[in-house]
Amino acid sequence: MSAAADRAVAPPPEAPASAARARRSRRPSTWRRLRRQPLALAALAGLAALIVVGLLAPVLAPFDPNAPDVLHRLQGPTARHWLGTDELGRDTLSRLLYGARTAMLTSFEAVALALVVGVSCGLLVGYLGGWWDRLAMRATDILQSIPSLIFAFAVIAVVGRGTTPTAIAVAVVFAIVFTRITRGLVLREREQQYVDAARVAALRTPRILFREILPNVLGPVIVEAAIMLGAAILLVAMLGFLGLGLGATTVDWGHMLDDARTYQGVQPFLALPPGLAITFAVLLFNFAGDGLRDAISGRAHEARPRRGARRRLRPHPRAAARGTGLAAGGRGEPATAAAGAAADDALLTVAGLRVEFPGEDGDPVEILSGVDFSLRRGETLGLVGESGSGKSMTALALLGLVPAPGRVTAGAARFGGEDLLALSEAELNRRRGARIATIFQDPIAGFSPLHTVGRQLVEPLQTHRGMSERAATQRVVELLELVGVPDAGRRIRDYPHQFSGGMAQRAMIAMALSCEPQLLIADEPTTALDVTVQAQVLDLLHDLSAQFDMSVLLITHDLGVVAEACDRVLVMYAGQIVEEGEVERVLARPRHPYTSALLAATPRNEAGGGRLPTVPGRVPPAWEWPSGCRFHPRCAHARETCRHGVIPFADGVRCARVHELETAASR
Amino acid sequence: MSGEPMSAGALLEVRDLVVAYRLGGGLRLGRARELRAVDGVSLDVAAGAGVGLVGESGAGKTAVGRAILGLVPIAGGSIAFDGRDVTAYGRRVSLAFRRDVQVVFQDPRSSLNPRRTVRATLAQVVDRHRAGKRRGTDARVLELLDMVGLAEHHAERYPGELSGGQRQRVAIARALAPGPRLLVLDEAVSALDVSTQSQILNLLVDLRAQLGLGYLFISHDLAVVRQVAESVVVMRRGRVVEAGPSELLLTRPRQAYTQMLLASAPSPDPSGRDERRARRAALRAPAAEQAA
Repeated sequence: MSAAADRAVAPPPEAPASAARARRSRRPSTWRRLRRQPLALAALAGLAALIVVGLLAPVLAPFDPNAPDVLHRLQGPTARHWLGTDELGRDTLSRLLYGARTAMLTSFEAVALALVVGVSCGLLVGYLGGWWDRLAMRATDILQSIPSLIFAFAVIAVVGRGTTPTAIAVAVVFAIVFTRITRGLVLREREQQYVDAARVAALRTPRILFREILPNVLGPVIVEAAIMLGAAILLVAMLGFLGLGLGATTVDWGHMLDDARTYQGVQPFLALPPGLAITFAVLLFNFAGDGLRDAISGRAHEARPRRGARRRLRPHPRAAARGTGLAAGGRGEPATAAAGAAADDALLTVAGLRVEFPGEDGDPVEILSGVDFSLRRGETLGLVGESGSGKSMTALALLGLVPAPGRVTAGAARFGGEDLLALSEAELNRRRGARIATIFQDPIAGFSPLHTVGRQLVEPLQTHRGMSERAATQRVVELLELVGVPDAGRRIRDYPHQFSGGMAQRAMIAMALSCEPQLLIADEPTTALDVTVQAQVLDLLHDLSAQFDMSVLLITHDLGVVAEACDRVLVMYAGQIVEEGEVERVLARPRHPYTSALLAATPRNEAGGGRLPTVPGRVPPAWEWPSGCRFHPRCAHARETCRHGVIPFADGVRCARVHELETAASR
Repeated sequence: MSGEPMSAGALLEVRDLVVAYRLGGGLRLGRARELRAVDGVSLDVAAGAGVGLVGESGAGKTAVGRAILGLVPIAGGSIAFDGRDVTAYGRRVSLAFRRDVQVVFQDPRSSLNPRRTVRATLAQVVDRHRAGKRRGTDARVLELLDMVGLAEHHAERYPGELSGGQRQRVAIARALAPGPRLLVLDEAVSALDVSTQSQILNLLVDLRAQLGLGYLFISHDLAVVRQVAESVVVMRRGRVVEAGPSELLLTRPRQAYTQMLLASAPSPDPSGRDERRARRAALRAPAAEQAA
């Protein structure tokens, strides 16, 4: 589902042809996401200012930070000393600026050191694994159980005081953290097949570590480093405050704070400048780090709820007119066979369904361009097409689940006398639970891992049907037995992860059936399953559809699945339905060149050795859909007439040359 | 042991292969529980031959491939390549063997490093296998791209800028880079759309004819296997169920499990579906009785 959405959202509509431009379009997404976070941007700007101040301290400071002036000691802010003076009459502002220099230098030094050591160790133990990994992790466990401050004391006791020893003390503490983080990332990355491929290619281990794995784990590590810089400032200040930090001539904020504490009875203002400086510096690093993390992982951008998708709902007047015109068989595109069949036995009639996503420069990109079909009672209707054809988006639109920022811009979906697309969220929710059920590709993801499968099946029955817990439980066991879950009475106490893929999909079907829906929308329900299990699930759907007089909309990429399970089929290409018909007819005598090509390219259990017929190219992304017939650039039969205008869906097929081709074929 | 070796003096000879995973890690001493993913599998791939390895998920077919490639430790049995014993019980695998046996994985999204260009990915493999000879790397990279049907401008792309089919072509080019004699293709076309799948299958057929490669084609899809493999080994629960020529095995299987696999494979021909449904029901009945 999101594949289509991603494609519609991410790259620019003008579709860069050159590699260089394509590469540039890929990079900025992190920066774009960062730009949307004013707080993180402000923090980054603040940090830059802090670094500049630290570097330019000798130029900016009005006084020598260590020059005593006993006549003006312990003063509050004055015109001469903006932030007052300390117990020796030294200028607080100058000391604050020099303190920034110390804080930056020490923390950058510490974190840089920790990065080098920690990341190397993490890479090594993560990649080697086994005993190396276990020993290293137990060692870090032991080291981490010692409070970091005490640990730093020990290091300083060994190496002495000063900027570099302090940095080393802090670095040792942080290196352990970096080791852990890097190791975790490497363990995940090692599972990626490109690492296996590099091993099979006999690349040397250092090369695999530093050239292959390291660049892929560096992003999160750098983010962590930004946050650690803040922690380093705090730790250095603490050491300074305790008098264990730097030498006497080096100014540091912690030491300033310690002095202020001694004289707080005489001059309470003294504690304010260093205290605020430490607080702000740490906050800046944290905000910047959080912002970077969100920007790199894309969380700030994608974590938007899906509700926004249903904002539309009063369709564009013109689009609505188009939609109704279609359903009524009026002007414009002629009514489709499907919409025409919207007679008494239709359970669901979809007309003129359009979905748009905003493109890169604000121009909307249409990814469903007027989808029309009807689904009869008790019928299994296949919706087949390659990825990017819009088949999953059709299902999501019917369920009111178009991911934001996409929206339904036109169309109607009549289901039992009401328009699904015009219902409110709450009303639609009720329909989804009771009369419309869904099954998705990944059954385990459909269950909450926290509750038993039984509980998740029983609860909808209690809420939607008002059944008692006992009656509901009994019904659930019946249903699970019906869908072929052995020992159902015991298995309802199991958690989803204890179910195999096939069993979980059965449980999902049982859940979908539990409220006896009239309509089941199944999006690639068997794609993740083994062939034998797939056949079982398809056979089961076939039996149940007959038994419950349930209509099924079966979305799949596999014409074999269509042949096994469906009565009728819709073939989709690039956001449009291009062919519709009874399965026997469509698979025996396809009329649209795309259907023929797809069918020819599907491998059969027949003597191999020869070449399979192929379809050149691939489904273009939505912003590159051509005018005229959208399949024409890949079609072997394309003529000039195919390249322009709107190709109408007529008589079950959307092809300008269908009659010519059929006549030619019959000759 | 039911997997009879198919020919003598094969390019790759796997005998009684055992791959076991320890369940549960940690520093616990004593006997760890063991899962035998592969339990005594034997198979041969002759030079230039196509052998399909089929079975359902968990059958151990991927583990066989990984064991041959030295990516998982072997608990028993032997692997010989070109008459030499290459059984890698530990980690080290010789460079010569790496040159001879290469792999194409299922998911081209994960099998290419997202942060390296196609050129960088291919060049480092080319360089590694022609030690000392720095010159000619570029020419070889372009030659590889040409072999898999990609253009010169694809060399500067990152995997994220390529389609699934193009990425899989890059993965094949990388596998060809050392000049191998055997390719392990682990579900190499399973993640692709039908139209792309047929393009890649044709490419594999062409490359084999052109370079005389042997294929160990691991797949769950019998119809796909039939396109590239003359013989098939069927696995279930770590063991070989049945092995033989594709023509025979995929039309008249002897074992009930293979029959079930065949009857379950969806065929884009709706005319016989009621018959197939009935056949599956008939095959399932005794299986259920056995289980009960």
